Order: sequence, then C-alpha cells, then structure tokens
Amino acid sequence: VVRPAPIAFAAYVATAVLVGDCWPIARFDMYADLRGYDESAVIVFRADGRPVEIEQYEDFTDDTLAHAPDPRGVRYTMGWRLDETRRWVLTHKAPPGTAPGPVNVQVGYVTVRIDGGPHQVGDFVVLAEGRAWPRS
Amino acid sequence: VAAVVSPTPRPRPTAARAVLVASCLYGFVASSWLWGGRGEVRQGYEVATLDVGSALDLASLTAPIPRLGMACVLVAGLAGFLFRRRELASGAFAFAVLTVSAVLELTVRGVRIPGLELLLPGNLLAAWLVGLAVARWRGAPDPDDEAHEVVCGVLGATLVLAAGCKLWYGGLDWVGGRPLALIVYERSFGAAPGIADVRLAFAERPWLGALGASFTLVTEAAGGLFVVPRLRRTVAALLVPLFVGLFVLMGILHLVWVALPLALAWSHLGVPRNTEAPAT
Repeated sequence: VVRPAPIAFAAYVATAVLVGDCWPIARFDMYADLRGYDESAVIVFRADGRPVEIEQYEDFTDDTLAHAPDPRGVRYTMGWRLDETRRWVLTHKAPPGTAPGPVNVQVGYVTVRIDGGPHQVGDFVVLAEGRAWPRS
Repeated sequence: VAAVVSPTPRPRPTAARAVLVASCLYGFVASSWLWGGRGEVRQGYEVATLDVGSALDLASLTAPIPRLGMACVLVAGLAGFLFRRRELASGAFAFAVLTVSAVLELTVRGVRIPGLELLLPGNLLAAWLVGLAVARWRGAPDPDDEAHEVVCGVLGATLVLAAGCKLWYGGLDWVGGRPLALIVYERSFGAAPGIADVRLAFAERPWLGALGASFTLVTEAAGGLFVVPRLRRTVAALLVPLFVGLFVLMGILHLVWVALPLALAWSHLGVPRNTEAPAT
C-alpha cells in the first residue's frame, strides 16, 4: 500500500521546483542565496545623528524619506527595515500647513564585514533625510 | 433480529486540527497587520503569477470594514473546518480568505512570498483539504487519517526544500557559517542590549557560525523524515531549538513552525494502529 505522506512530499517538492513561488506553493529559499556574503548593508534610522527607532517620530514634512532609494553596490538582508521606514513615513505625514519638525531625521546604512571578525566599514551613508516631530 | 441503528456520532475536533485553525488565525492577523490600514498599495508588483493585482481594487480591501468582513468569513470557515460542519466547503472559504490576505501582503510589501506565519498554515490547510477530498473520492476508510498524512508530507517537503535551496544557491559557503555569522551580526544593530551582546558573541566565533549553519541544514534536511510516522516526534523536537535559535539570533519568531510540527507529530492521526483481531 502506498502511503499518502511520501506522495504528498514528492508532489510538493516537484511542484515547487517546477512552478517556483506561487501561493500557496513556495521554495522556501529565504537566506539561501548567500554565496560570497562577506559584506552587507545594515539599514539605520537616525535623528539628529543618533540611531533611534522611527516609531518615535511623526509628522514628516516631505516625502523624501518615503522614497528613500535602496543601497547600491552592497548586498543586504534587512530590506524590510527600509520598507518599514518608507511605509511609516507615508502613513505619518504631517498635515498640510504643519511647520517643519525640529528634528533632522535620516535613513541610511552602515557597511559591515565578517572577515577577520565582525566590524563596521566606513561611515553612515545617507539614503534620504527630512524633518519630523517627536511623537508625544 | 432487528438491528438497532444509532446515528453515527459526529467526529470530535482533533488537537492537530485545532492547532492548524489557531495557526491560520494567527497567520491572518500577522499578515493583515502588514497590509491592513496602510492606505498605500503598490499594484501588480511581483504578483504577476497570480494575475489578480490589476483585476481587483486591492486598496479598498485594506480598509477596516472589508478587513473585518474577511476576518468573519475566516473565523466561520475555520469553525466549520474544526467542528466538521461541511468541512471541505468551510475550509475552502477559510483558504480563500488566506489567499486574499497573501495577495494583499505580496502587493503591499512587494515580496515574492508572504510571511512564513501565513505561508505554512496556508500550505497545510490546503494540503488537508486536498488530502480529505482525495481520500473521500477514493472511498478511504478514514479520510482524516489520510489528510493528516498528506499534511505531514507537505510539512516535510517545505523543510527539505529550505535545506535544498541553501545548498543549491549557497553551497559550501552556507555550511561554512560565515554568511550566517554576518546575518546575525547585522541583527545586533538596534537590538536590545542583552540580545545584541549574544548576537555579537555569536558572530565573533566562527565555529559557532559553522555549528549553527550545520545544525540548521541537518535539521531542515531531516524534515523529510516527517513522512515516517515513528520519526515525527524526533523531527518536531529538533525544530524547537532551531526556531528558538532563530528567535534569539535573528529576531524571527515563527510560533507556527514550532506548534504545527509538534501538534502533527503528537496527533493520534497517522499512527499505525493494530487492527488485527487478537489471537485466540
């Protein structure tokens, strides 16, 4: 008697390999393509030069941060942080007529490497910046 | 002799079904948190394979009322699935809601696959429904048992695919542990002080990176053994430290990936039963 589990196993693997990622099928290849992954960009949000959480700020007075570009020339696995930043800014825009906030906010990245031990390479690279208000 | 015919009692909900139902609800909440109420939907990006991005006004679905309606349909569908009231149709409605949630998440986030909290329950619910439908069509004596086996096969496949992709795309680089150490180091930035120290300590020790990467690969590859009923508990137990490690080192909390294997492995379904008459 052929049991259903091995058949389902083989069918799912074959479908995922052939079809790729198409809900609800997936190849589950997260964090797989890391050949030569020795250097990467860590997305950082800063306010007046200090690393902070973006949720502490609101009333962004322009869309610059919402359209921050991706880091170029360096790989990274934390792109969701950039997505979250863009989305937060879009959903926390200042109402029309609001004065620019007192805080200079920036989204950017630092480059890190793992060879010879984990260490930071170079300075903070600004991707976009603007003004915002601290959340009350 | 007149036989007394009593109505067949309705089967009771099983623990595995209950955990799957809870996982589907959790997956929907996690997914809808990502797309709900954002007000910004990027149409059509990376959802070409589903080809619904342009056919629906997706933005309107992210408003509170449609979101609540989806939640109601999901709860009703999952309740029907759990308590076996028209379970195939109920489960299909629930799966349809999960599908809409997945499409919204793909569209809003611009990613290829939804979050794993939604992906695994969605996969396993679909597998259960397909397994149940096929078993009934075949006239199997215990359709739920067969459906459970199908779900276990699919769960094993997801784990083996994860291991296979790491070897296929990352090769020995992945096994060496350097990429993993770098990923963990990245996640020390902005982490709470105690957690950041643990992640930094991990990244500073190459042997830990190699050990973690090897353990991940071996455990995921061993997931294929989930098709063997007597090995399921071992595989499920191995997944616990894997996902605890993921949480501590990478900040990724995948509760359903721990709860579902444990529930399936400890389920009374799929366990070979002695159906032979006792020797006289």
